[in-house]
Amino acid sequence: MKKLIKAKAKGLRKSLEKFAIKIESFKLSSSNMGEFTDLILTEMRDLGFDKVTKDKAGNLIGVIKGYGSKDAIVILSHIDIKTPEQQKAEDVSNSGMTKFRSGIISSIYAGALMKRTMLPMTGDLIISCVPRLGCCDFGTKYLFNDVLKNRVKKIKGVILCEPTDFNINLGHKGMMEYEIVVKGKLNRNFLENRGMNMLGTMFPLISELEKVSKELPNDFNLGRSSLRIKDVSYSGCQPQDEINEFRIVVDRAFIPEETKGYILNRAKAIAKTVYKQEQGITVNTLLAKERIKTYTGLDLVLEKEFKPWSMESHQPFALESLESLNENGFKSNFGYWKKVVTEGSYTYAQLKIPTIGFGAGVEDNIDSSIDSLNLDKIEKASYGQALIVQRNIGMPTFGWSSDEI
Amino acid sequence: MKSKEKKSNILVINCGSSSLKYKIIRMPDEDEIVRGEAERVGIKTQGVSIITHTVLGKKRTIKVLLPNHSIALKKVLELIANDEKENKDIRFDTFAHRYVHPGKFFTKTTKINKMVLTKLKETLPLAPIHNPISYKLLEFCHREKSSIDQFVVFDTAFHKTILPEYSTYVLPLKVIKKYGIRKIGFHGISHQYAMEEACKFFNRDKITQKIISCHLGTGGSSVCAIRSGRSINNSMGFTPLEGLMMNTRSGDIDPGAIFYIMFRECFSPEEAENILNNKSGILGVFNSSSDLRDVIKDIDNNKQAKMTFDMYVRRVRAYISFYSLILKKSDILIFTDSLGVGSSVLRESICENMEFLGPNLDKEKNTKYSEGISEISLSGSETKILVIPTDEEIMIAREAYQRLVKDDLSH
Repeated sequence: MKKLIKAKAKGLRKSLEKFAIKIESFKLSSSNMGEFTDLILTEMRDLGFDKVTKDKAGNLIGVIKGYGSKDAIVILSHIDIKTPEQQKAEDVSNSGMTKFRSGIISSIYAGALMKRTMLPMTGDLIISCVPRLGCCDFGTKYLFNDVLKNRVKKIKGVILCEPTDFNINLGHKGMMEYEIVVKGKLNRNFLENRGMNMLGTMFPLISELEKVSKELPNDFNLGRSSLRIKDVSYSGCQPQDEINEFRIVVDRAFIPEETKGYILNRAKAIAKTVYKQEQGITVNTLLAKERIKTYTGLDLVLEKEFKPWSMESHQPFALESLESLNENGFKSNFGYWKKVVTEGSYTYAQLKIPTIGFGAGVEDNIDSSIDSLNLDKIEKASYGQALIVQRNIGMPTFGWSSDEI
Repeated sequence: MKSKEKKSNILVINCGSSSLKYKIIRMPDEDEIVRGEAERVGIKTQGVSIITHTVLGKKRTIKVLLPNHSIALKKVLELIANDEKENKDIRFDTFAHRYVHPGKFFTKTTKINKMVLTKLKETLPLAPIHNPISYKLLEFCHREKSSIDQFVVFDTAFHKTILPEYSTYVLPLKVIKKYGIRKIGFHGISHQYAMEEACKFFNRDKITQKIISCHLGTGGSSVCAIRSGRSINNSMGFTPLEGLMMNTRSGDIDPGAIFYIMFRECFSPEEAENILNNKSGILGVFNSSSDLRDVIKDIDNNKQAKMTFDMYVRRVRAYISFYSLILKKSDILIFTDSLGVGSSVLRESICENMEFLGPNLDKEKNTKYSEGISEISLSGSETKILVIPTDEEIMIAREAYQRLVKDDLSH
């Protein structure tokens, strides 16, 4: 079986190379997303996927049909979509592309590989490339809530094609952006008891948040939670203004033991404690939201949050996947992402579908060009992903692995 | 219309995981018009994908990109269509496909229609490397060449008559039922061909004959016990792994030994299977080659070669003896396929001192055998010994032709 999959992977190499060149040379911008996605859809069709579609959220979906309708496997890669502002910043380097293109190629070719081997699968193999905008995984949510709604319970596992250096990753910290909004009434430009202007009024809270950031909890696998002040702003700085308020925007990485509600309440409590001497101060915390318009025309308001997740390593899907790799020449271990966030924040943290990450590339090099499009590694990643699929929804080939009977 | 008058050019398709063999056979005369093989389909090796295409004995090789079996067949059909432009006799009107393992769904050659395809889909996991490829081609022909009759001939169908006491494994019935585990038997098309040819050769009715057929190939090998034209036992089992020692397959082995290795080496089932299927047999014992012909070359000056050869022979003899017992002596012993036909040394060693079971080899005839169907037993031998080069494609064509004629008559 290993020989068969490997031989077919070699057989697909030329085609993979051609596709990689197309992907690499494509200068992606917010205005030509449609062309880029068409490139991917065409490749899926050319490779003989049984079904190829694009949904309303812009998810690209290719299906390799199994002989039965039991457990399915979903392989997810993502496309980073940039706002026009982000695009301008990245135009110089085109570095945004390096972050996700390996995953797209390896996932599509893992599907093609299973198609070529014709090894029967008990359920469908669904390859999807989901759009992701900054801190919002709207594509994944739409895919699972709408397109795959009726088959979520039949999904045996999700493979995330993100950089894992050929290890199997089982989670990462969550990321959220929230705001602390402090409202009060200024008296002669100063808060009554502080004798400070609006700008100075923020400092005690900023200082307190910095202190808190050093005492955040730690998770053995995922690491320590973190807090970073992303932005500060204030408005209504004159006493005659109806409202005087300031906002602190916080980027927060957090571990599964902390919840969104807990974090927001804690931030609120900290701010209240800082300003407890003041009269008429109100404190609010809220998750940041972003209004986006997808390239397919959807107008959405999304919360900026990726939930943390950490799947147990004894989960059968994880174990079998690791075994399938190590039995076939990989030297994989379980690991966790330290920097990136993935669609596992929805598939595992929310939907509880067993989810693993497996892909080429090293997380630390994600923003550099070191790991840009190494074809050998991409081929190896698609081979590994195919092995994982075969182990989990393929039929046993015991007694049959010789070509000649 | 009389059945013998019906003429048909049958395109026989027989594929492996990276190959596609084909022949156009004119029936009922069994004349071969076209033969060929697409090699290295969908894989990358040092050599490029090629189609070796032989028309009326004239051979040519075409280098061509063959990413999958459907494309390989499409190319083959193009080649045949081009040949037809030059010679109108180079054509076909019927497809006949070899299909390895139809499970319990089909026991005889079947005409393809949508319903049959749906049923066949359920059999894909039964021979997970071979069935899906054949299925794809059946689907392809059904879709692209719907006007052409298409038949599927099953490699295991001949063994449907294996007696339950031989096909049932000594396992808990619950497990057997749950997973459909039983001896299936393989090389059915080859054994059936050998049987038919043997009966034709001696002009005997197969109903009266007790035959042991040894299909000894450089890849897989099996022995089959045939009574009254029906297979009653076959050395292969639920999968082709059981039975004789083969090129890289272990054949019969104590399962306890496997569990022991798995335990000591922390092997998964897949790793254990890889040892049994790909690293054992002749390769495992002899080490430097998986081909018995290389073993035979070294037999006089290499102890390991001698032992490998003896092990191989002993296992074939064990099955012949067992089958002689259940047949209460056989009328005919057949040697077929590459080793069975190609090695007189092997045949002589297998038949040594076997007279008490019936076969009495004529050593001179055996040594002098060169080609075709030939008897190699002494005139007084109770069991006649025959060498028969196998031709699965002819057998597939015969099966399809019989169904075609039957369909015609019923209309």
